Amino acid sequence: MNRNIETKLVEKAVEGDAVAFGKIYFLLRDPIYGFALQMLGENSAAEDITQETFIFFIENSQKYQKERGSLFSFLCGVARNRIMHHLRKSGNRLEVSQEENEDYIEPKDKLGDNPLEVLLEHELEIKVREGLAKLSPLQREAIILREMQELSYEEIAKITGDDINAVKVRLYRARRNLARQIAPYLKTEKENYYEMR
Amino acid sequence: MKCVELEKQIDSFIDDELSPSLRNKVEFHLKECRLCGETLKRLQALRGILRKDISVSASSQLDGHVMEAFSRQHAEKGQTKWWAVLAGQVVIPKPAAALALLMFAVFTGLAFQLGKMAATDIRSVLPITETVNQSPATSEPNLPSESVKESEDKTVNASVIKFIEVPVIKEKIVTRVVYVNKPLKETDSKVRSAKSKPGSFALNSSVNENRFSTQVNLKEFQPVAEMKTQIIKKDENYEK
Repeated sequence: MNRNIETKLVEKAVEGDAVAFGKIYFLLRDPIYGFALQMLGENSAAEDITQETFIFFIENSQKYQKERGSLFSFLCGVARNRIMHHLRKSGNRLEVSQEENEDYIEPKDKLGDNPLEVLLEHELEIKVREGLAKLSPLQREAIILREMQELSYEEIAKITGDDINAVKVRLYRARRNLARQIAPYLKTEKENYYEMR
Repeated sequence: MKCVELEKQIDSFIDDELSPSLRNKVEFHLKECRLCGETLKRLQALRGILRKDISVSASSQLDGHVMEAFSRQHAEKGQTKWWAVLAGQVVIPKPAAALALLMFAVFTGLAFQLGKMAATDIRSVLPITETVNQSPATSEPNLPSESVKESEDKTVNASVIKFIEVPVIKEKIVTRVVYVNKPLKETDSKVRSAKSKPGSFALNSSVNENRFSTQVNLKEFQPVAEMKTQIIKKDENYEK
C-alpha cells in the first residue's frame, strides 16, 4: 500500500470512517493472519491473534506513528508480541498436525491439472512447514518476515526490537537450517542433470 | 573477495541490502566462482519456495468481530471518558494543557486569599465569650457580668468593617491555705503523754483540739490538681 494512501486511510479510520477502516482491514488482514499462521501453525490461534491485533489498533490507534514505519510493520509488531506470548504459554511448540496440513492448501485450485506436479508441490509445502517448525521461534520469525512478508532488515529489527546485525545473523542461520531440511528440493538444474546421468 | 567473505555477504546480496561497492565485488566474485554461484542458486530456490503464493484467508466470522469492535469503539468515542484522558488515550494539546494548569493555579490562589479574608471577617463579627472567674486575691479588676454582656452586644452590633478589640481575661485560680499555729504548752504535752498508753495512739488529735485550721477564704472547693499557688502565713509567735 502506498504510504500516502495508507496515511490518509488511517487518519480517516481514526476519525471513525468505517469505509476507510474496512479498506485497511481487508488489505492487511491476510498478511497478518498469514504471519500468525506460519508462526503458530494453528488456524484458531492465528485467527484469535489477528482479531486481537486489529482490536488493539482500533482501541489504541494513537499509538501508531507513521514516522516510525508502515502500518503493516506496526500491526506485525502487535501480532508478534501476542504470538511470542502464545508460544511461551505452549512451551515454544509449533503445532503441525497432518489434519491442518491438509487444510492448509488447496492444491487443485492453484496448481493446474498435472497430478504429479500437484503432489510434488503439496509435498514440498508440507516439508517447508515442517522445516519452519523445527526452527527456533526467533529464526522462524526472521525468515517469515523477510521471505514471506518481504520486509526489510530495518523493518524486521523494529518489529522484533533488535538491531539489524542480530536480524542478519538470525536470517543467515534460519536459511541454512531450512535449506538443510529441504535439501533435495533445492537441487539446481545442473545437479539434477548429473544425478539423472 | 574470497569465498569465505562472500558466504557472509551472500544473504545481504540476495536481500538487496548491500552498498553499491560491496554489491559490485560480490557480483564480480559470483561470475568467477562456480561453487559460490551454486550457493546463490540454492538460496534463490529456497526463496522461490518460501515466496510461493500460499493463499491463506481468515474466516468471515473474524471480519464480523473486528468491524463490530470498530463500530462499538466509535460509538463510545463521542463521550470522552475521564479515565481515557488520564490513561493518555485522549491526546490533549500542550498549549491547552498549560493554559488549564495556569488557570487552576490562579483560581486556587484566589480561593485561598478569599478564604483567608472570610475567616478574618468572621472572627471580627463573632463575640469572644470567656467566663471570668477571678478570686478576690488577684490584682486584676473583676469585670461585672453586666459589662461583659454590654461588650458582647456591642461586638454583635458592630459592622463587619469595624474591628473591635475584645478584652480577654484569663481565668485565675488562687488558693490560699493559711496555717494558724498555736504554741504548745508544757501541760499539753504532759496531758498527752499521760493520756497515751503503751500500744495505743490518737490520730490527728491536734485537729480536734483546734491546733490547725485550714483553707480560709475559699469560696469554692478546688481540686488539689488545680491549686497553683500556696500562701502559707505563719504566726509570729510561732517563730519566737
